Amino acid sequence: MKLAVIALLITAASAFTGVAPAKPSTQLNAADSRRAFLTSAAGAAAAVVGASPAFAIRDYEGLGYLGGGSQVDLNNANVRAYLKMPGMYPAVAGKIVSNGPYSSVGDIYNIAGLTSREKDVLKKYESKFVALKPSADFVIDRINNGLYR
Amino acid sequence: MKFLLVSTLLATAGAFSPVTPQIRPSTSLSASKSDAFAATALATVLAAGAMAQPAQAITKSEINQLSYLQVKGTGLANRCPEVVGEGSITPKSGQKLVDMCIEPKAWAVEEEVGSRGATERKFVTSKVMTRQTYTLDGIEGDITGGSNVVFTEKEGIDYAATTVQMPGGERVPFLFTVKNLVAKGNGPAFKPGFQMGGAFKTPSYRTGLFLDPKGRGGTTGYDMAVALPGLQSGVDGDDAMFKENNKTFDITDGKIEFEVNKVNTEEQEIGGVFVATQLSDTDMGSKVPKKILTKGIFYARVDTPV
Repeated sequence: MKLAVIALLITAASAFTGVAPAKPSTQLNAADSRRAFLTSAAGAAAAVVGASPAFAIRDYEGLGYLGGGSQVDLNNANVRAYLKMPGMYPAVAGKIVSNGPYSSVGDIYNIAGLTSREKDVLKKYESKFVALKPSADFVIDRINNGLYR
Repeated sequence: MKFLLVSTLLATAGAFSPVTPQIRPSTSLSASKSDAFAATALATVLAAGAMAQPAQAITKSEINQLSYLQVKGTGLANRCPEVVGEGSITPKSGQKLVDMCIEPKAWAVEEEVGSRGATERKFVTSKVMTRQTYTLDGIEGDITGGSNVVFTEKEGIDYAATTVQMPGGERVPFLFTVKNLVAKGNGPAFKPGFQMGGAFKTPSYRTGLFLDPKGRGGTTGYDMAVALPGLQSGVDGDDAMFKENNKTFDITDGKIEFEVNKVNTEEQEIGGVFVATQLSDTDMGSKVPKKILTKGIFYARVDTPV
């Protein structure tokens, strides 16, 4: 009997996977699916009204590349993410965030006004860079995001 | 028809004559209290006098001669310089437009006017609530020469958070901006009558790190209202508050048209009027934005990079 209940729960839980793809989240499954449902419902409503169909970004995939991890996202990370790389901040880092977006990591060598020494620094850290899709709400905060530590 | 409308708007914008605030000679550090009172009284008289006086042009070279203390507190930093002369400048590709200043002088908000059955959308003149910080300045970008000059905005103080108040008392915040502007001209040279215009992007009034009073934000903060957990549990959940909880970063389109009416060939300066339309703040996705119309004057200088 108990086993049957558990099996039922598992099947019920698997029914949610179609709605909300597995993503690392602190949310309970039920809450997540409710949100997904509301999002789709509101999406349909928005499509009817013609209002903005945009939805808040929750659990942004590129979060680990904004300065907290070992790799830094050239397109979205704030200038201070380069503080951990000696030689980068502020000159080279400033040039990176003032330009872009970059379609690949190799694009950074095309920044106008880079000296050969600065290119050497970029070469040194090339493996630590990634170029993810620019996300407008992070791009606008690349130079000054208002966090001063 | 559209072009006619734009030219009419530009013509009305042309009615704005330069307003020159009285420049006071610095705030004295050693002023005693009574001196300060006298100075205030004098300043008031001067300000009143300045309003009564006919408008007087203050050019970029005159502004450049002023010290910080001479400008501080006068509101002059919120004015665009005037251009003297009616010459002509034919820009070449590779040259830049620098020190561009865009000063709105009148604001209007689109509103549904009239009783039911016969409503129409109309721009209602609104009063600016922002003090002396609504002018864009130091904007620069590349010029492409040829049969039609094209200006591409690159950087500068290209946004200013502004609030206007509609006649009914409703306040409408908006991010006055010309970000990513690409303005196409109607001729090869800047001369009186030259027009250029194009589309720009208006980013969200608030950026990702802004937290609302309930601790919710775009790229940071909580997903739901911290102060109201009871409202957001149960079957309906945050249905009622979805709009407020769903923080988005909305980027909308705007349009601006410039008309040059003064050109100083010697200083390579151009000046004129503009009309711009854009959308107001959406409060991070929870409100329907209103359409804003701004009219005013602009200044720019053609620069040849060495």
